[in-house]
Amino acid sequence: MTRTGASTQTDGSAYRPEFILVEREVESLPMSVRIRERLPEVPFLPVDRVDSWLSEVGNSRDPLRAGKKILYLTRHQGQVLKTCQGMCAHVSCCLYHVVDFACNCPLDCSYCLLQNYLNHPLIRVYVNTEEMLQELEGRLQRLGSTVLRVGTGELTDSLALDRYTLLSGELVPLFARYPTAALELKTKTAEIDSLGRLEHRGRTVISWSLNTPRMIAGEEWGASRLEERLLAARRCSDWGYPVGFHFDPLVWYAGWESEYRETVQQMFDIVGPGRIAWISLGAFRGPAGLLDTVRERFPDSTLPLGELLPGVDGKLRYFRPLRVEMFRKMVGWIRAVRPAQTVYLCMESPRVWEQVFGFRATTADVGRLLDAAVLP
Amino acid sequence: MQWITVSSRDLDWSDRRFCLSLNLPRPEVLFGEEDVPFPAILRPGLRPGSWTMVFGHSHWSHPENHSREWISALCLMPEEADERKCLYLAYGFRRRFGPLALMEKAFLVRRLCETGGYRPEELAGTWLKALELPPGPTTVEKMMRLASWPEPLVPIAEQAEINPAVLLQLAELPCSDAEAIVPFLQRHRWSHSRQKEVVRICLDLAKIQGTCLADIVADCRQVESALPGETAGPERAEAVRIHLLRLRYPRRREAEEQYEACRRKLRLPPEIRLAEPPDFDGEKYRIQFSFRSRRELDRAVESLARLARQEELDNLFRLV
Repeated sequence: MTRTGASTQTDGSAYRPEFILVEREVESLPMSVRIRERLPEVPFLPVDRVDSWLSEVGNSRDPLRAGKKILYLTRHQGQVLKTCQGMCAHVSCCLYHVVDFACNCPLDCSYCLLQNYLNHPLIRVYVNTEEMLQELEGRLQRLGSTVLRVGTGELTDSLALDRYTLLSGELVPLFARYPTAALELKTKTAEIDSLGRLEHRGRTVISWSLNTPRMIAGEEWGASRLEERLLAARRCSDWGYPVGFHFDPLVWYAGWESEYRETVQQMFDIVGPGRIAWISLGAFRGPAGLLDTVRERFPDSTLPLGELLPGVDGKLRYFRPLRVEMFRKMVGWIRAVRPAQTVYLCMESPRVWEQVFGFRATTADVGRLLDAAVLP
Repeated sequence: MQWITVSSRDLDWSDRRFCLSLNLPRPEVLFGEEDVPFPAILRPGLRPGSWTMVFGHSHWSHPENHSREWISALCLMPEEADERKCLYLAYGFRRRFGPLALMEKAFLVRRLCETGGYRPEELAGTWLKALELPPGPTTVEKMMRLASWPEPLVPIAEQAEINPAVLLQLAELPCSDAEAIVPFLQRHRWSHSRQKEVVRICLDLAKIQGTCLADIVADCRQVESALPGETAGPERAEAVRIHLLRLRYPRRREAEEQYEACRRKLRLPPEIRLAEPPDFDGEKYRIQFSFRSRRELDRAVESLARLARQEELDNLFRLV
């Protein structure tokens, strides 16, 4: 590789691309200009096509890792607000909506579904943000009393690029104006500096995906350490933001019980229970092909060694009694500190809800639970 | 002796003749006598700057020599390795002799590097594509490792008819592991998809148990030795596979055993079939029965009514 050489990123440090490619058509848009100004020393290359870059990245030892070193500024096409892809018939979902301002993530978690989902290894940043925000605001204006929870962390980390895009500075005040809307910025980083001075009115939940230090070190390349995430959460909480935590994926490994228990304790010790809007639990899952990718790209990963079996939706999940055991224990440890804490399961069936919580939650139930946790 | 001629004209894969577009400016360098490891004569072609290679047909027609000699021919043309020619060569080979086995491709890759003067990264694109292998430098590395397997292992791997994807996977293993698993695959003759499953389970088990593949294979041998002597090969292979599955998925095995115990206690009549949810992930059992007369239907319904009254059913429901 000549254009995309060895990585310069180390775990926990801020992401910095090695090249920025920009479609000529969007070169002069304010977001493109902003990114260029904030990364003056990174080559900024207007392009008509990215084929040659894709080909070069494709020939590298790890195309997915190599692609993460290139930001590709382009235009978002199609509908801005979409329903979360987790919504399906077999599981009780939370009626979440998503907006993708970028596609692909600077972090490189071994379990990430994007590895098998994206057909393009570069990090696409959609720079027609003005249009996107306009469309989003139009939707918020029409909400009336309908509640809408929106996240930006489906196809990327919500905050990993924020120091270059400053997008939170536009999204957070936007949601602050709509009393029945809530924004969730979901991250594994501590990139929160731009959030401190924003007018949020409690309409934005800053949330962190959490895992044990062992899992973070072994499976979440480029992400912040547990303590850094929790300290960032504490700061956001101090700024008045509701915060959320996602223990997702929970991974079954020798010693998981004590380590997850300690992680839960550390979360409450550092952040305090007061402002935690919600905590979600999700056991490791994914399409069968994902495990082959994990084995290929992360040979030391312990994830594929779990007792993973295909579920009714075809996804591999831990054998159900194992998942239920993990969920029950996690709920027990959380509720031991804060009995009224809102806890929900991500992408689990009503039967699993019943085995964990004692009731069969429908999608509508889960939606209401989360609406109540974040809206007055 | 019949002859096959390779001339400088475009490809023409007719029965006895095939022509390659060789554009060799300095053939004496590429085809010095000491470099030609098979009976071949190089002579000037019909057009200026073109050359003809002549091979002894009897030599080529010997089945064991086909691929090796073709590989040699490919290796002699490093300067010609543009995409078109790679594809032509691979296509021509397939057409005439059938597909190259993965081990043969591995030897070709090694020869291209060692004799042909290619750097591994130069093979990662067009050449691998021509050989129908996944592109990328890691494949080249795997092929090089395969080609360096100990001599006795190669015929065993060839006889085992190993799934190429599995063979590539095995190439990543230390030689000692390959020496354990390849004869294991040869012995049991699983289908390609089963080979993939078995190798995956063995590798996972070795990691989970912190042991090597030789130990896993030895454990399977014990299972085999406990089988009755007259057990047929496919049944033996299936018993080994089930043993491995049980080791790999202990909690599932436990549930399966409980389910089987419940089912036995329920004493279902033969006309009623009970099916558990796949991998116990769903929450519903399925009952199936067939009938061809009112009497048979009555009997099945009575059996179902008896079944519904059994306390053992509660244990069944606890499993899902």
